Amino acid sequence: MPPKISIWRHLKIGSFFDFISPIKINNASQFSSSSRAAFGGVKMKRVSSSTSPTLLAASKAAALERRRVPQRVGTLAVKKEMTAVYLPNGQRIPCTILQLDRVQVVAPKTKKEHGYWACQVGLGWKAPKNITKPMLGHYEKFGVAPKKTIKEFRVKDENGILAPGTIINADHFVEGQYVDIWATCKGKGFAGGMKRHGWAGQPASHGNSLTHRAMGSAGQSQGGGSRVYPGKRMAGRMGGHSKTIQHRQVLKVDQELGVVLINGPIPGPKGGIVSIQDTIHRPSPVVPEPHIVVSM
Amino acid sequence: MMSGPSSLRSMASCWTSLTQSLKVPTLLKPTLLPTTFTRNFIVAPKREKRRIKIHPPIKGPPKNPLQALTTQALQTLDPNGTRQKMFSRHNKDSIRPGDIVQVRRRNGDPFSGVLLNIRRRGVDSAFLLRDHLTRVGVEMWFKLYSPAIEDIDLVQRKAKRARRAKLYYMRQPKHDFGSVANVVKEYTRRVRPTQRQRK
Amino acid sequence: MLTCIDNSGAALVECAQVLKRKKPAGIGDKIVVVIQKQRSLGHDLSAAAQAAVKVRRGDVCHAVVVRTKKKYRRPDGSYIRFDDNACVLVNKSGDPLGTRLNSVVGEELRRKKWSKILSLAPMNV
Repeated sequence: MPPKISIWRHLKIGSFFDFISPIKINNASQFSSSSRAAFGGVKMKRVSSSTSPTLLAASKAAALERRRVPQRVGTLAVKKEMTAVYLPNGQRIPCTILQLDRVQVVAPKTKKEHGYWACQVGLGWKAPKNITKPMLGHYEKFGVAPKKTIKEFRVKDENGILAPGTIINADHFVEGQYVDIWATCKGKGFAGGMKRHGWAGQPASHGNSLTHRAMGSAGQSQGGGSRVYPGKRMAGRMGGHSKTIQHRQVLKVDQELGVVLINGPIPGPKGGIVSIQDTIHRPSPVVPEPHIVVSM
Repeated sequence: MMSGPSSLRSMASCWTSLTQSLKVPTLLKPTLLPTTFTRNFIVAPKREKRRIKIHPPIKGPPKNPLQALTTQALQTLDPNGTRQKMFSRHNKDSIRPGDIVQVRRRNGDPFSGVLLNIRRRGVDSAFLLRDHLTRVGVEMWFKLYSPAIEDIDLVQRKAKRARRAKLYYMRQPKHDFGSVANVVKEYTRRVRPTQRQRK
Repeated sequence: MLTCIDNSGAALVECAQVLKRKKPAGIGDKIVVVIQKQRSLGHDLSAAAQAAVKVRRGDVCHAVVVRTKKKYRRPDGSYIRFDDNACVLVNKSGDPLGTRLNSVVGEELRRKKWSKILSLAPMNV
């Protein structure tokens, strides 16, 4: 009996009918559907069956509590070139330049509404003609210019949520602090076992013919069940996936250039988009409020 | 039954849309409206297209941060610009491949040798020296702006300009310069008596 | 094949194994070697000279790498590269077998606690 309930719910929402009264109804089925869309996007509230005050280890809330999430929001950045810095003792440290190009908080995600705390962060700028209308509406809603890339950064609680439009600049980070970085590494295409998994291959000579870079045996015969086990490493697509580097030191922060220098190399090509956030292995650094909110 | 012209006409009029829209009674269940009825008689008015407001982008950082960072770093690593000038392409008297160069290090003995290669990459600029010590060929890459280098001296120019940028052929026994110790000794005696005294 | 630069009597040795490392050996790493060629003693085969010869061809010995052809990076970003690979024979406790070295060795030996070899060397870079 779904239609009966759905109509009743519609009438409960007062403004809905006023808005569509003189409308050309070309899809009558939307009114008879019992899906959530028919309720105007209103989600039915779930009631917990448990009245226990302590969190169950298997519950969603407990899982969220257990999860190691940084206090502060992370940022997107563009990978530029590599360079080096010298320490006072003369030691040279190779480092990568990451530039924070017009990074702004786009939208907050709250536990009440979305089930977790996070900030949607955007980088760069994209011509509005290349953006879909729903996304333009999204940017309009939060008063932010259209962004080239947007990405969510989980934070521990509501203290980590920044207002939409907040500019995240290089001074979000502190010199000497440690960060986790993740980016899409360079794709190598379809690669053989030697390149992809570092296998040794076969000898170049000693009677070997035409088999120099092959993967070799894929497993036992009868003893192993006469089959190839699932997950057997083979040739295939290499690279082009996300890579995370944990616990890298920030060597230098330049607010004017919007630049953060990170110790060592970072995955991905030059010009690639990189995500940086305080490392989960140390407590977040204390930063004096540097953020500027652009009000529009 | 429908053979008369009047009936044909009525059929046609039935499918013409009305010029003005009819209001649907609000209490009428929309699901119960017959499809033909809605198609013919409820006409949506032309709504004004809502323009999505597009916010202007904020000001971005400079596009080439490496250049700015390099000049910034060189201000501390090479404040007088002497090393920059020494290896500049535009300087007529700059050090070139084939010259004999002495590098005095902050901790460690000075190293001298024939300059085989210059790698110009901003802060990471480096050069390669080759020498023979106890009859064993030794090559050293030095970072030009490294604080571990105290001073770089041009000991002797190559008599004739080298016609290659990389003089790797000098590793071959046929072209090897051998030890530069004598040339450097002569230079130290002539130009840097103070250094000799210190030693 | 490496040259042996001490006066233990070996001239050319072959590396059989790198100790305590999975990668190829660098300056300051200990290796196991087989002596392939003895140093020629010339015509005066006196008793003293013969006594100085501590190893014979075919002996298995420990050695420390003192020069490599592969360039080695130093903390200040400079690189060092020699024209040959060379080593010095040592006994199991780490003391050099020879009493004199005849050519230059890498400075990395200092950091890797081979100061005995460094003090014997005529020069280090």
